[in-house]
Amino acid sequence: MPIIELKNISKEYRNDTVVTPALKNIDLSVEEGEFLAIMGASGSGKTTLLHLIGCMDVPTGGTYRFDGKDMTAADEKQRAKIRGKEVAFVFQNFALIRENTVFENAEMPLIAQKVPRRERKRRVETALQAVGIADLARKRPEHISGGQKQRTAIARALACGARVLLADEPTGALDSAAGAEIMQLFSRLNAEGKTVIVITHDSRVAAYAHRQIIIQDGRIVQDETQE
Amino acid sequence: MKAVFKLAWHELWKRKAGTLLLLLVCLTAMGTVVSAATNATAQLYQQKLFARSIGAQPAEILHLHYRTAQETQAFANQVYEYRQALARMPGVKNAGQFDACGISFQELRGNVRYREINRRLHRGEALENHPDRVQMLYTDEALLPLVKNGVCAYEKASPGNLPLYASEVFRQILPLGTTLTDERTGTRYEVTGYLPEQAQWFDESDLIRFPMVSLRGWFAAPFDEQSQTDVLTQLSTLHNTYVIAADDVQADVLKAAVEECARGYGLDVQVQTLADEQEQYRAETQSFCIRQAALALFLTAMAVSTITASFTAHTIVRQGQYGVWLASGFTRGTIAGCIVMEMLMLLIPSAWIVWCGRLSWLLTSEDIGIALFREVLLAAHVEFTLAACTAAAAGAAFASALLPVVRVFRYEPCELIGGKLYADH
Repeated sequence: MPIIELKNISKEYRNDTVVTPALKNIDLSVEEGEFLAIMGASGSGKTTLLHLIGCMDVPTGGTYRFDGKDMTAADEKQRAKIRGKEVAFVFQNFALIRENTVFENAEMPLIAQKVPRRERKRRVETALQAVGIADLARKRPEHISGGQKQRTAIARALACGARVLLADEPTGALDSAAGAEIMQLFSRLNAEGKTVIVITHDSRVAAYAHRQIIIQDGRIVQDETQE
Repeated sequence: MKAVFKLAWHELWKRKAGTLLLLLVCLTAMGTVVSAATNATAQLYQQKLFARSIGAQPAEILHLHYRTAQETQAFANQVYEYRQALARMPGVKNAGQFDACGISFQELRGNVRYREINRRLHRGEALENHPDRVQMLYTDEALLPLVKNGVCAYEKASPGNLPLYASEVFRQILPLGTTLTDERTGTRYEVTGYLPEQAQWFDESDLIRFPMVSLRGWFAAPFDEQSQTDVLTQLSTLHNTYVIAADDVQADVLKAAVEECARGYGLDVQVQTLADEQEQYRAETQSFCIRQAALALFLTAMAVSTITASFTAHTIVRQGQYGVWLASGFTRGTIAGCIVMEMLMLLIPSAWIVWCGRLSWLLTSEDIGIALFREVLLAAHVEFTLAACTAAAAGAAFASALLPVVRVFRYEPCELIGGKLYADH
């Protein structure tokens, strides 16, 4: 059973009288443990698709199943549960809270899950160790590099135990060396069983993925699996 | 709930300077709300305390107002005879007069312990510099039950002496049987009982408009025979003449009878029940109370608008952060709860801090106005203002949260995360 299954998904944005279709008739299945890259021009609907998969948005039409559960009609509480526990986001601009330390940023989803304090500490420390920034736990985002910020975001995803990592241009704000490190980290996590979905313009980044999808004008126009 | 509290506390703590500023705004707003609430309700509590303390229903107590008076012996004699007639009138349970004045007892002039106690009791007042003076309440025995003091009648004194009740604070230095002589009149008194420490009496100026005064440090005794027809005494007590109606008598009928009786003695007397006088006072003070309540409402509204503006601005600035929270698994409801909780954590403690500060001031202020109305103000402050200002603070928090919360709910989660993010610099 695929972990992510979209059938005939469409998404429209309405603004008074203007209706903007962002996605049209998307059919997509992702098996657990896949490494998928989604490519396309700006405005093609990549980020919209990612938000739908991550339950940050709801489709206008079609059905979306996560791990067999129908999420199309799920309420906000049910969707929030998926976001904090099963799915984690990694953003181009890191999405860290400036006033929080690296540790506090990484533990955020665990607070949402009401994990007890001791357990939170253990999981965050393990996650920070896994991404190689355990010594930066007390630092604030303004005092660390871009690569370290992105590692913090990935640690946040690991700490909450997410099975699916959704990365929106994770290397967009990084230099090539730091970007390569991050993608190697994603590869390692994928090898450990995590499902990784990456949005990117960069073909070098897409090359890390086993499967590449190209979206154009809200539709999937190409879906290739690399050998 | 715990998560919401934790998030709210963390938000307030990490922005200490901003939180402190908002706290000052809340303290200022709540300060004026607390003050206005106490002032507005003090009048009502004055009425309540008064009604709790008097020994008869206000509708059964008639207050005599002499429209004319003459500084003549004939007038004093007429008034005396009229009062005697009132006491015998059918439908009258009790009738009498009272008066309060300062006198001196020969025996207490040089009494060091008395002077010491008196000086301590009257610290900050005019009598502090005259510790040998005595505050005396002269009251007809018939009027003693007018106030629930635990003193309903005078104990019998030895022949030649009038009974005297001394304040409980003097018990150690003025045992029962002690005789004291009025320096001016030579009247002899014998201590036959003690006024309880919490005993009160009417402030003689105006039963309704001023609160009751404590009799701590006072003495009480009946009028001596000479005073009953003394011109100055009678003129002094004219406005403190009261009639208590019997249980089964209609006040209006009795009023007419009392006025008619006065005319029979050549006196021009108007009679009002205490209930009527209370109603007049309530009407007079109503506009003040309404103004105070309006002021409190206005100030609460100002506080709400200030806090709303601050938090709405905060919400806009924190849009990206809320997006991170949503991506981390929080719901918009949690974010809304956090916003409300932050406001509650600012406003309710502000209200309580201000309330405690004002309580402390009411307890310790030596301002004469406050001292006179202390019991009333404290009753209003404790029984009403605490609940009222807590409710006002909670109401203000929810009202202030409305706009920021609506703003949060207007966005889809993906729109929030698409906003400006924090650590992208």
